[in-house]
Amino acid sequence: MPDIVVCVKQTVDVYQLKPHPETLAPQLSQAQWKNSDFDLNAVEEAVRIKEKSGGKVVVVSVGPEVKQLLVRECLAMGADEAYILSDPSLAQADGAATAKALAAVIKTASPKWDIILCGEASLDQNAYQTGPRLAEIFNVPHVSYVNKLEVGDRVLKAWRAVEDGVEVVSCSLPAVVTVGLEINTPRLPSLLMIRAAQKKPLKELSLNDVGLTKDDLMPRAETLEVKALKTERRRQVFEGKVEELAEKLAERIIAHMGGRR
Amino acid sequence: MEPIRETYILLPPGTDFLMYLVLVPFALVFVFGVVYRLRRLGVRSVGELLNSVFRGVGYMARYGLLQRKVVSEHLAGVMHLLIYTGIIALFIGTTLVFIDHDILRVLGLRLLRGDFYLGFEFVLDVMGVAFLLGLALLIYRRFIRHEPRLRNRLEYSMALAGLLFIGLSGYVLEAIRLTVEPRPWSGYSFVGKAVSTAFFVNLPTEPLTLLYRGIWWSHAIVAFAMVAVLPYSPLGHIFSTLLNIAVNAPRQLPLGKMKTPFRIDELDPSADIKLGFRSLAELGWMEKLGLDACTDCGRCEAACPAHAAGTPLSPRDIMQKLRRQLWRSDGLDEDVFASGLIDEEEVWACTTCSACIEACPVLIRPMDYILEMRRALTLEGKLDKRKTAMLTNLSRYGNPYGFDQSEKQKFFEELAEMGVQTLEEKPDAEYVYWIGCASIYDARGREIAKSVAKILLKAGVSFAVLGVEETCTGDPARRIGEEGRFQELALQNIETLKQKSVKKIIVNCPHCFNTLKKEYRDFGLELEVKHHSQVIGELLRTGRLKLTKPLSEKITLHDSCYIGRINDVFEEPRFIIQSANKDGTYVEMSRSGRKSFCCGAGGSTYWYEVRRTDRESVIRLREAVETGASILAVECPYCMQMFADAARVTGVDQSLKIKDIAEIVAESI
Amino acid sequence: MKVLVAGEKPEQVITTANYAKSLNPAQVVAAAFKPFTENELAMLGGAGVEKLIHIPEKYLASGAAASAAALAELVKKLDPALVLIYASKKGVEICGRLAQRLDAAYASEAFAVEKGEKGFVAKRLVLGGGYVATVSLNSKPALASVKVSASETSQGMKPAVEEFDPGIDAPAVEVLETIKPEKTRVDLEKASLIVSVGRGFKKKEDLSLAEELAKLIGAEIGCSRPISGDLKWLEEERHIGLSGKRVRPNLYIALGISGQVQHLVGMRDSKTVIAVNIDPNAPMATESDYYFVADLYKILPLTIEILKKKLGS
Repeated sequence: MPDIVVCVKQTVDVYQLKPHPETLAPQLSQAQWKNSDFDLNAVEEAVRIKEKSGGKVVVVSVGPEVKQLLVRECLAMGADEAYILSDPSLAQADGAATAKALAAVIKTASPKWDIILCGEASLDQNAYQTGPRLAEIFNVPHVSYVNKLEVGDRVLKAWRAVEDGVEVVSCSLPAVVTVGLEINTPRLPSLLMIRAAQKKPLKELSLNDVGLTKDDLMPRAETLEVKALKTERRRQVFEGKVEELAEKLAERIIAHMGGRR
Repeated sequence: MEPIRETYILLPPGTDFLMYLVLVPFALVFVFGVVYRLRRLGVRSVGELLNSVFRGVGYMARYGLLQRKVVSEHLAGVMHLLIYTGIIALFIGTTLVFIDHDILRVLGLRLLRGDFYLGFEFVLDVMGVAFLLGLALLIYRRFIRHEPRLRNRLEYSMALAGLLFIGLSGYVLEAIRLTVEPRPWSGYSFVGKAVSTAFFVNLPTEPLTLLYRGIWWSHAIVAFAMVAVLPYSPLGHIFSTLLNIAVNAPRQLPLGKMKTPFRIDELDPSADIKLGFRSLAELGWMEKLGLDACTDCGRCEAACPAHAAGTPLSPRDIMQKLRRQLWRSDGLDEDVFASGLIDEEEVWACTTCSACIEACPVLIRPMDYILEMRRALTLEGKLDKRKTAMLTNLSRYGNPYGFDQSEKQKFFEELAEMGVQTLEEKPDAEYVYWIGCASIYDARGREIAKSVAKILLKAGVSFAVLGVEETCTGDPARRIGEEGRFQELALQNIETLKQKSVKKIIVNCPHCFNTLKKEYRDFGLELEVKHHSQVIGELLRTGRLKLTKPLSEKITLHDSCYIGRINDVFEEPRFIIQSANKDGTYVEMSRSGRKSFCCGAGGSTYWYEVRRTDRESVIRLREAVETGASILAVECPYCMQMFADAARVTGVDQSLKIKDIAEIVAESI
Repeated sequence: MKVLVAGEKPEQVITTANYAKSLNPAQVVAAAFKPFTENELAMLGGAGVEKLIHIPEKYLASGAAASAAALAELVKKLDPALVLIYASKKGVEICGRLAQRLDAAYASEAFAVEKGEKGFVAKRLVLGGGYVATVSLNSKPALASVKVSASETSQGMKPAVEEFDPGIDAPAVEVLETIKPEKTRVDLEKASLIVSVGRGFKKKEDLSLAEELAKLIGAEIGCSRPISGDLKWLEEERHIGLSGKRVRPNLYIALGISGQVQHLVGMRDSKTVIAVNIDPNAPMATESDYYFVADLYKILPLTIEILKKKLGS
């Protein structure tokens, strides 16, 4: 009957993001917000573990403007409780600040947790930091890139995808696990279930409640600028005799096949 | 001697008393059976039942008595009519005998005498022949021709054997009686007379009389037994189908309309949610009655396009499985999916074309049960990736494709370049042209919308588009069972439409047509909705649109389910094609009109995959190719996509062009 | 300034060291868990490394916590200005813990690290891969896991090898087994060269033309939806598009693809797009850098022959 904590990050929908035509900065205000895809895999996994072995699933979400409706979606998937820390000082948070905030909330929300589950990376930052940092803060083992998980009594077994193949690992609980997209297909709760999740407890915490100050959340690595990687297509059209075209085609392929992005 | 019915002739005195004595236990079993079945179905009071029945008397007459839908399939219809009228005639005959012998005779009167009696004997013999002829047809269809939709089960064969026995033994009895006790009027019982002449005429009396008594008793007992087990046997369909027709037909929703079980804006969020059903206990008695009425005829299966495409779905199988579950001892509470009774894929394969409803001779609606089961499955939310993606796209982007606002904007800009105005630019427009997602986001769909716009502009119709405020009607969500998200979208659209005082809408998509016209009503908005075929038809008839370049092709039309069968629009598209194709010919596919065969995209199945061995679109395309047509005309952007894909995949795209009726008209302006 | 480079495998350490050269460091020290061959040591030397610190492999085998703990001790001892670790999957998770342990400014999967006004500046991809974030790393040490491709190696003087066993404990993760993949999984999202096929191909067998081209230039095969969906000529994993994969290769070669929006969404982020299509007006024309109007059945065999000569098959 494990106590599971799932960290869910709300991010912009990166597929909807369009850069500003001149500055090439992402127009964040125009895009919708959603729960980071990998974190939903984590919620789904947590709920499946609960359905199998019992226990409790607590969702934790921190950010500058955490939307309750999105957190309710996680509750509708089967989580039991949710804790939110929504503070503008998290607007520039890097991996360190995020981990600090999450750890503080987790200590309040579920002090005797057995497993912390989160997505291997977030949809917006793609940094792969949160899981390892949390594990380090709590001084527990962590397993990342997990695509299959078995939780036992005081121990877990995980299958993780690394370059060389699939590593089957085991460690003791408590532990932090970060999951990939392949681990499961997150259920989409019907709108009715999302509404029914209104009944489940959702607590909004302040910095004070968790013993943090604005300075604690200053980022160690500061993002100076974000610019789109867009290129306008050259749109060169080649017509004519196929033999000549073949030469040009081969030439183009060779010219552009090397190098890196 | 005056002709008169000699009941119990050749039988020892007291036979009638004994017979009635023997009848009693059988009758009790019958009554008990009826009461038990009705109770199990959930009927609580006779009053409730009778009330419902009275309301449906007209339907019972039309579809029960007059067998209206049964006869739509000719051979089966004739067969059933023969058996049905035969049995009724023989039953009336027996009743008249009862009245004549046990009531009137006691009172000193007789009914079955004289000419009336002669007529009686003749008619009964004729009807007996009809009855046996019907049974012969049944045997032919089932055991010689092996019609694919017919299933053979022990209980059906036993019922057949019983009926056959009663029919044949009746004549044998008649024959023996006429042999042992000939009468001058025996000729009126012409069959008996013939049998007598052929088999019994030279046989000694005593053994014949004994034989007569033996057969008479077995005839009686078989008849009594068949009546006694009627509530449990296939012949019980006599009552269950009539009841179903009477009780359910009057309260059925129009085709294409799904039940609105709640209003999301009026729901108490803390209330318990119940949506659809996963166990039979969740069904009301009227729905259970619908299941019980299923006779396993298989017409729905034969009509089902998903079945033809080799998916796991057979509407008949679902009905029969649920029906058998109904009568199992613990059947009511079992989850039909968890127990493995129904495979989820069966329920997902349905394209909601309503062909099964059209086909069912006893007015059962297999599709309704399927959609209610979908609702239960979606409630839990454990859908596969593609269904989840579609619903997520709908929620997040307002369209099932998952394109963001900029794609929509781009298309409306293209329309603006053609001269199409938005409602903001033209607030006094008479119609709003509702484009629909398939025509906003799909390349081929866009061409259809542009053709429609071209026609409307040319004819000077007063119209405008909503522009980027148009979102999906929500139909894909409703068909997949996600009622909450459907209502969310619907209410949003209704808000927009109400704000802009929109009353009249033109659409080119039958799904938008159906949803806007029939489903939005439940949420407080009545709209006058016209499909582009209706609009263009009107324009042509009134001369507002003139076609100057007649085509000379061979064209066939695919009747889209949601415009044709479900919304009764058949004439207009044909009129339009024939007007544009003046120098050409028009041919019908083998399955057209109400019997049209679905393209396979409906019911949201366009957005996901189920196990299958074939594709509905490929099957239908073959039919189109068979007509020798050069153009397959469609009236729906989804049908367009399905057939275009199928044509590419089968290599037919070189010889058969797929065009929307708007494109055909636009070409000949 | 002193730079410490490290990695899970020797070749990764060498790559990272070679990259570090661009920062013009005064000294580059390398750290590794696995032993180096003589040749690898020479290549490390060629990258400008004078000292290689060998940390006992048991730390790597015990998992990221132990590896990070050991590296942290080494960092404390060496006090470098910048620590660069190769961004293999294990490298990245070790880095995460290391950053937390050292309370260092850290940028993960950086494709470029440069000197900044204060400290260093790293560039990395964010927001689904379509954007570059410039991150300031102002701490000592600054930390980055680097995702750079192997560059030319040269031989040099072999560095001195030092053993370093910090003798520190950390939470362990036990590896029970490693399952080698039977067939290489298709990972289009990470491919840098993709040859994509569409309905221009008439038969499944004809795809061999595209496959030959792909093999020649080392590209992965992708496709538009009808190929993997309706026709099932290729696995669904190869489907690029709105409901398929989003790819960002260096070079995307679209063969016989018309360029429906649903497909474009999947490959728009390609650096260079070359397309071959018989239709001069296909939507793909406006979405390509180089658009060849030709019958692919004619142009492909010729092009393959030319490439064979130029690349030497």
